[in-house]
Amino acid sequence: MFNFIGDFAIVLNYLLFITSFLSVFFYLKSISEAKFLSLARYGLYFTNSGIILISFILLLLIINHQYQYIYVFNNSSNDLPFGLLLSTFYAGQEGSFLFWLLCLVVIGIFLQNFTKKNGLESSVMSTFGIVVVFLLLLLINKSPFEKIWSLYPEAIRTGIPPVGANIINISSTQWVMIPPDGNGLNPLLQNFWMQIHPPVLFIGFALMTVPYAFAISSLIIGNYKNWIKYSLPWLSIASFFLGAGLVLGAFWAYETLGWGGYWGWDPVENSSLVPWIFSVALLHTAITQLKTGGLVKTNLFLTIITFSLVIYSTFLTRSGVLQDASVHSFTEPGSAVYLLLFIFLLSIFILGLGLLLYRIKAINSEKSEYNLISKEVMLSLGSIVLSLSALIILAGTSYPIFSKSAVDVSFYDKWNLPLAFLINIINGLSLVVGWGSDLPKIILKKIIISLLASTILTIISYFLGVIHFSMIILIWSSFFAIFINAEKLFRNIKLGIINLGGVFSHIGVALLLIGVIGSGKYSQTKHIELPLNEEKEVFGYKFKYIGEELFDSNKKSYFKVLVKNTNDETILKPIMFVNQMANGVMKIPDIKEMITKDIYFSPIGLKDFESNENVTNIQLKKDEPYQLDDMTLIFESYKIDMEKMMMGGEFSINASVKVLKNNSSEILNLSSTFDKNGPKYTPVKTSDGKYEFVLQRVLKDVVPLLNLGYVKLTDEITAKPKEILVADISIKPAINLFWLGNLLMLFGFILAYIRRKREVKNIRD
Amino acid sequence: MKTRYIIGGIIIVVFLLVAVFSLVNTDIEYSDFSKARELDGKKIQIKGQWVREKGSEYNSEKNEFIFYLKDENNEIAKVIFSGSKPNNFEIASHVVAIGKYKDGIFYSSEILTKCPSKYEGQKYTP
Repeated sequence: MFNFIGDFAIVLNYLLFITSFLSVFFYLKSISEAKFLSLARYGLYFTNSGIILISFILLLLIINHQYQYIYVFNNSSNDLPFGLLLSTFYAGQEGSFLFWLLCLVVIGIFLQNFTKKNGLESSVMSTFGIVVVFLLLLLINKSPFEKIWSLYPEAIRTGIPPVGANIINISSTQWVMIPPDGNGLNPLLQNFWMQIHPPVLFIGFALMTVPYAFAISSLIIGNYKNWIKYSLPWLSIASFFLGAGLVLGAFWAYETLGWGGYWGWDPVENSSLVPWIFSVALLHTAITQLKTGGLVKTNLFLTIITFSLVIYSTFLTRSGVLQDASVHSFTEPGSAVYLLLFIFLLSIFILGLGLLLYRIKAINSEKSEYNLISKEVMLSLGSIVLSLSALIILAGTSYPIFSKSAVDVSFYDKWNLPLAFLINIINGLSLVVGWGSDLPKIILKKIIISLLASTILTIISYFLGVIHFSMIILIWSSFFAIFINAEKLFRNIKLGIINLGGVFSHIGVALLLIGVIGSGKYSQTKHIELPLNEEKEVFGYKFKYIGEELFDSNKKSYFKVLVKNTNDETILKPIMFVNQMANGVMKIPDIKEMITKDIYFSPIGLKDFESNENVTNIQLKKDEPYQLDDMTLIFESYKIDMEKMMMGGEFSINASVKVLKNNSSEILNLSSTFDKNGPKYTPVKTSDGKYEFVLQRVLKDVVPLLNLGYVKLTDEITAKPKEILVADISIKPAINLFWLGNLLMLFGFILAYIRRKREVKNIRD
Repeated sequence: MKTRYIIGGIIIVVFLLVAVFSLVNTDIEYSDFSKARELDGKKIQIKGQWVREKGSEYNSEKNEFIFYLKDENNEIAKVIFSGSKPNNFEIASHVVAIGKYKDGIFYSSEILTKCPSKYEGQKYTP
């Protein structure tokens, strides 16, 4: 049954591609001839149901551990708890495309309902459908329903299968063994924040389709006035989700990755930040159109750019073009996906821009007389500065595609610093100036208190350590923005909280910038070694490593570190474990959270045999003598327990090495065992007791290679040194302002969404 | 109305020109050791392979990880990385070290490790 439904899903995928295409076609026809509308709707309903069915099938395969499917095999395993098991749905490339589609379906159901009432169904749903068509095409190419033997033909075997093995017969003589367990989810993703970060981001991506569909629809039908009203609630909620996705990603990085930061200007992060900044710029110019009827072309252009950049983001991260420029492990999906994504991107961009240029003469904005100091100008300036910031990040992120270089992260900091200052100033001023015009004298009167208060706070922060000129300017402008917004908040709270979304977001942005100053510029890190039960003082806190403790049914362990200052005592539990799937040591930090700062404890290593600095690593070629001091080593033979290795259980590797010294010779029989939690080495000493060896790994090359580690045992060095925990300890001032600022900003988006949605409803009623 | 667009346009063009200029200045070129010697002290990135035979060591007091890197022209140089041994170092098919070359030693501030097989579809060994 499970073998069959995967094949069924693949066939259905092809069929849906056709029906979605037909639905778009009939929707376009129905703009002029209403009789095609019902056909278009049938196509839409069929496609929607089909995508839901396909998603359900994948979910079924995942829940039932059907490891004959590569996707299930690669992303999940038997031991995952149910919540994490569900998250494997979108953990891989193929599944995430399907998830994106599923979000589009749900949004599409609401959107169709919404546009039906406004008489825009044909033009909006046809554009929306184009995105669905492309994603279905991508899903055909990267299907989560591929079976193991389609990628690994060597898995197909003939002969008599082993007794008790779970096999699938694929012909009368050929069979494939179903792996009893999957590879499991990347341990870094096994975290609550990582479970919700990708779906939130994908919902944001999918929602961004809606403003684009409204823009294209307005260009098709030639009505450039109303679309912005309909588009605004969708744009607000899309910006909320995209922003929330970014914040969740930042929080996850801070909590689990252990490098101490939340933002690294990595291409993957940047590529979703850029469309988000554009969407925020668009939110501001859209308000101008709503109030004055101006900036129509700007809004159409920004909408097209924003959505094109969403697709560009997918292109950058999924096509493998940035292989060398990122620490994220990109997948190499093959040239077909590269090409498809590229065509997708070009189509979206050219369709939008082409239509805009075609209609440009017909679009006329309302012209209003206004002073240079007016809300219109302030909003436009704000959008320009935001767009510049996004363009800078876009340029830096795309740079490696066009040159054989990458951009230093200092590039982003250097450019965004003055822009952040401008954003703060405009953030504040835009609230005190009115629509139309305002006199400078009146403005000054309105801001004088904020100017004074922010200057006083800046002086205080100077004495708290904000001493660099650029930081003083930035923190001053942030305080300025906060005061003006806070004043507005108190004065207007009686108007109802719903109307104050902008104020909340503005305060949030200014707060988060102060958080960045503290936790970014004024973070300090110290590298320390903590020998077992010895106390050391760092940043005024006493740290003591008091041993390891097992958890997760004895599969992992954390280090217990006692942190003390005069009046309080905490135990931090940073974690380190070897993970086979990620092929390395996972290090998870622990954080002592306080109101004004965090203490960030990032483990680096425990000095034992493997990380013992006295260990030297060497590599022997099979049958080739290797000279080590006065000994000759010859790697003679090895044995890997292949059957067990394949079954995913514990397996061992044995190797024998001949040691020739003077005229004597001896054979060292080395052995190591490997399981899910990593290797267990058994050290072997030479007969004279002077050297100790461990087998690290065997590489099955044309000439097999043996990796050995050895320690010279002299009087000072014994093979077992005292346990020392090596760690980086950082102090992160004002980090909570960063998180609080983000939350306030996101809260503002929600308020904006509710408000804009009501406005649409009011117009209709 | 028109002047607004012209002023806006000029601001954007000037800004982009300056941005591109600074972009070219802050870029970190993919390079090799011989080029690194020429550039003396400029931050670059070198793609290469860890020379296994020469081993590696970690000095925990200084927090330095030391190894030898062979660049794409097969030139070998000592690399001192300020940090602990990067994740996946042993199994990496190649290593990208970002840093500066000085007096025969490459001082690296950042190391990227590239795994031989990508994350997906690597584990099934029939």
